[in-house]
Amino acid sequence: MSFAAVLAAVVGLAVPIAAVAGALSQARVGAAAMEGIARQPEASGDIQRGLIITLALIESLVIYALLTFLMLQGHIGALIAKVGQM
Amino acid sequence: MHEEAGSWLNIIVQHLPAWAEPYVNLGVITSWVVLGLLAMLAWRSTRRLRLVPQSGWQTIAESVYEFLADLCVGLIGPGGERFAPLIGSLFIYILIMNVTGLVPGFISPTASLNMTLALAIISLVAVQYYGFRECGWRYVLHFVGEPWWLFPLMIPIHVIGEIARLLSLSIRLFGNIFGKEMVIGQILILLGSVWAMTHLSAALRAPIIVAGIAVGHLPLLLLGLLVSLIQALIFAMLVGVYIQGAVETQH
Repeated sequence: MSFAAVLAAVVGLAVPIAAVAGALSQARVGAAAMEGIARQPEASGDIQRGLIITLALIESLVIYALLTFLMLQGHIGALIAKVGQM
Repeated sequence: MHEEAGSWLNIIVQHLPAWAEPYVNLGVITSWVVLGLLAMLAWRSTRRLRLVPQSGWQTIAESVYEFLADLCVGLIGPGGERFAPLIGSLFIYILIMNVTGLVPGFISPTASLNMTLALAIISLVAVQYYGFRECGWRYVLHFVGEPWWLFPLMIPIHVIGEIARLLSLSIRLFGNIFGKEMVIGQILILLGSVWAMTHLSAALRAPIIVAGIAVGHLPLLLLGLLVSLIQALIFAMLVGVYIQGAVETQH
């Protein structure tokens, strides 16, 4: 039972940690891109393209954490059910 | 999740012949419906082509094509519009498949890893094909790397890199769309239970609950529309970047 509880706590913490890290890094990318656009408005097309791709690459890491969360979340109920039977 | 999802197309799923059942599910049938819709739109907009467009359909189709061709030229460089058919069809197909999840009674086929993995395999095989077609054996040689005697190290690294691209392309799209569908579903359930807790007279209860749910999840639908558009654009742009990397390996 304690294993299920630890799993629940860790799984619940994983996504917020990933989201905080992803948000901080996305903020840095966005700030740098805005500075670049303000300095060189004529290059805004290229910068936006790079910005979107970089944001996608960062965001996918958070999505991996979310997927892990969804996969492990299903196991918690099964674990508790198994322990309850015993 | 999709097997028990409520959809208009469940009627077709329930009447499938036994041999088709392992291969066809709700997502596949929804993607066929999307394909049919897109084919109909394409046929309708190219039926009577004129040099100066006279129908609104042709004007819309031309502006869509110009947007996609500009995207490809921006990503791949001059001559990039050759790849507009592949990248553009990927973009439109994925966009419509993402958006179907927001239509009541339909699901997003891209919320299943089968569909996104298939799309990623198609696009990455196309990347290898274009790389080989444009650069010939030099493309194969770039897997060996710069000091050629490091090839026992570099070839596995490059091959693993290609597989990682495959996984990241498919899992990104799948995770985003699956997350979008899950968030909308959870918010619907949450709104329903919150509104059901209010003390209302029996006559007004059901309509107020339904209206509360419908208005309350509207922002989530707008967010879902944004996510759908961005993920389709990102998939298409990343395929464009990979093609650009494969086509210009001569360095």
